[in-house]
Amino acid sequence: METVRSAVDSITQTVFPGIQISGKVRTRSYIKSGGEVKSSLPLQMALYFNVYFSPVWFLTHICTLNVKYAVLSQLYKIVLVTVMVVVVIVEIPRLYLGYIGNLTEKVPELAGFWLLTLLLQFPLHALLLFNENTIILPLERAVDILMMTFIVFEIIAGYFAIKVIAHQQMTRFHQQMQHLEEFSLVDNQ
Amino acid sequence: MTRLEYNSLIPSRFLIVSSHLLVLLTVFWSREENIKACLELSYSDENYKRKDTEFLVGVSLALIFLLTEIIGFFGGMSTYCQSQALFSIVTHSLGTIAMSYFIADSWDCDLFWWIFCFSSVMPGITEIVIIMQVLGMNKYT
Repeated sequence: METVRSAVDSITQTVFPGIQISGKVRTRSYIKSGGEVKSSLPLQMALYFNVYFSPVWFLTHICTLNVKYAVLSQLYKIVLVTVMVVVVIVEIPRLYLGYIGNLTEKVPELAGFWLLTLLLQFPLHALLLFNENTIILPLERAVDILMMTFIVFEIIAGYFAIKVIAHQQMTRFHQQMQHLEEFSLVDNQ
Repeated sequence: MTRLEYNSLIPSRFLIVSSHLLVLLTVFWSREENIKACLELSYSDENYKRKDTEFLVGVSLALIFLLTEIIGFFGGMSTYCQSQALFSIVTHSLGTIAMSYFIADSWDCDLFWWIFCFSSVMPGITEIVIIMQVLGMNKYT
């Protein structure tokens, strides 16, 4: 049973970074989890410039889709229109959740932003960038490379941001529990 | 200009530098017409390859200068330097317009070196000066 428990523990640790179920908290991080602001600057910069770049990306893709629509095959006509609509619908809440999660250090919003980026935007943009059947024009290639750079950077920076913020909130919670135990307000058998 | 005012130079500089990057990448992949425009009507294969290599070298150098400018801008070294932002906005916007005409009107590929000189080298060199100032002498702005 011990190995099953430790296996589940390590899987949870990997999927939801920052959570430590078995309570192995290091002592010196008690001191560090005070009033330090743990918002991630690289993630915030990436989100800021992404907000300004997304309309450019969208307008470029609308124009190039208009140019090549007549010569696309039937399947890719439907696929590309669907991809455009889904990307626009997902992008706006994704960037909003990223801003709110990072600036107010809220883990659920950040986790939502990270999952939207990793599971929706990354495959859709990979489809647009690497699938030659969609007749990739040179301008589209350029614009997709820049957008993909933003998304990959946000995935990496977002992972570390969630880890740091979740760890800080967890040590703060443990600290509060310790203080309550000292004053015997919590019954600890 | 006080510090509390909204600094609109940063997003404008980013958008114009990225537009220049996009046009350079576009011309990187659609350079055939331009190279044919600077050869004589009956060109040989080695002539084409020679001009192609020259042009590729030019575009790659322009991309390298642009990369140093992006490193200086996103690395925080010249992000708040207003004179560099203004200079970079002016030169890169002129470069973007010239390169767009270059692609659309199939200009001679030798004309690229003029565009390269005025809109890639100049902001790149001032950016390198600022990076050296910040890293070497710890002098911000």
